[in-house]
Amino acid sequence: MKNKDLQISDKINAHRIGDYDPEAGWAQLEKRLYPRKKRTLNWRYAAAACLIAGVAGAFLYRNHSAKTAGNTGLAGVRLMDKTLPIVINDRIIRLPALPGKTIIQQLLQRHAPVAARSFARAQPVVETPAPLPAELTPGNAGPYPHDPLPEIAAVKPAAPVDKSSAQLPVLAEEAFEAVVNLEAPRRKKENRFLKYLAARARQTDYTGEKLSSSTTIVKF
Amino acid sequence: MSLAHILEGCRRRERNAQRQLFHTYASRMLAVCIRYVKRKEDAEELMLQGFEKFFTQIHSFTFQGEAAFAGYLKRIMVNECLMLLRKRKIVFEEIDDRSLVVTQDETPVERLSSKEIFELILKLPEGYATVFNLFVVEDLSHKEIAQLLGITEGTSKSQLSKARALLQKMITAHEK
Repeated sequence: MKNKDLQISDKINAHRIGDYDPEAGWAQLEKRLYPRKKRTLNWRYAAAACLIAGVAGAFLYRNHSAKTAGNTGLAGVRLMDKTLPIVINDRIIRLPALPGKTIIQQLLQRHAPVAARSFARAQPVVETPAPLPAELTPGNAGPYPHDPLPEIAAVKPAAPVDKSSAQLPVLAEEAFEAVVNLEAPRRKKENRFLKYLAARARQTDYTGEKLSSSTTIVKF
Repeated sequence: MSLAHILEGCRRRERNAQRQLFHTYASRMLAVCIRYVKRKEDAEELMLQGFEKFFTQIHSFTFQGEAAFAGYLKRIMVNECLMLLRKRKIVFEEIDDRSLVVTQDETPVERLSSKEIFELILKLPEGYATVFNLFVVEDLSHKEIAQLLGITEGTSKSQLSKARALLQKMITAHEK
């Protein structure tokens, strides 16, 4: 029995699997033994993908911001082309539409030319209340005779002001805020819009004429 | 390059050395695994696991000659196969066949090729083949087999006896 077992054992141990491809087996084993190679490759791909995504994100962000600013500017231009109710001191006033010009256009025309924007705001000039313009009197309130009277603290005719005055951009800014939203925080987009308005106001009025140096100080 | 040099290279994690060792022993170790699990796909997977285990734990191995190394590697493969068989929960079935009696007649084992014997062993039921392989080829005792497979020594002896008888019957039939 032992002899037979030995014979069988020898024959079995001598047997080889002939149709096995050791190269393919080694390729599989190598992957298991050295998985880092693949991971490094993946890590590099991931890093490259992150870089591309970052660049694309920055590009989109820039474009998106510009587009938003452009849209804001367009909205502002549209606003200028229409006579809209204006909120001043939390009350809606409807100023009569003057022939040919919107209220904002009038305001901006009076403010121009505007000096370079200064972040150090000067104290607004406190004006004594002046009589309302003839077109704003109750009897002459234009298309909205039953609306409450507008509350304008001071609207003065143009007075000669030094061009380098730091108040000028502030006035344009206040005009914008009064029209659009009194309560909203001043954001980048609004600032960009104000710059746009200021630049526009510096150069020409709605008719394309070069603006005069006269200005009006309006305090809301 | 001698086996000692190859193993030294494997210890240093040199791919060429590992590849050379794998090429030398892959076919032989695959045969070992096929004897236990029968399916070639399972056997290939187990063989790769065994080599992976050997290469990652090579520092605990001391080279004491080629035969000792082959035995060490084979033992790793057998352990991998037994782990799979334990997971599969192999059944040590008893074939109730009164004709399966081991005779002392001379069986023509020597006239059979290694391939023929290998294929006949693969035809044995899983429980028979496992005990037969462990006892006859790996030269383990019934006590060791019982511990490895979680069975009693009596079951091991019984399975071996039946395996011998069935193999004898198959060899005789093969000769005819």
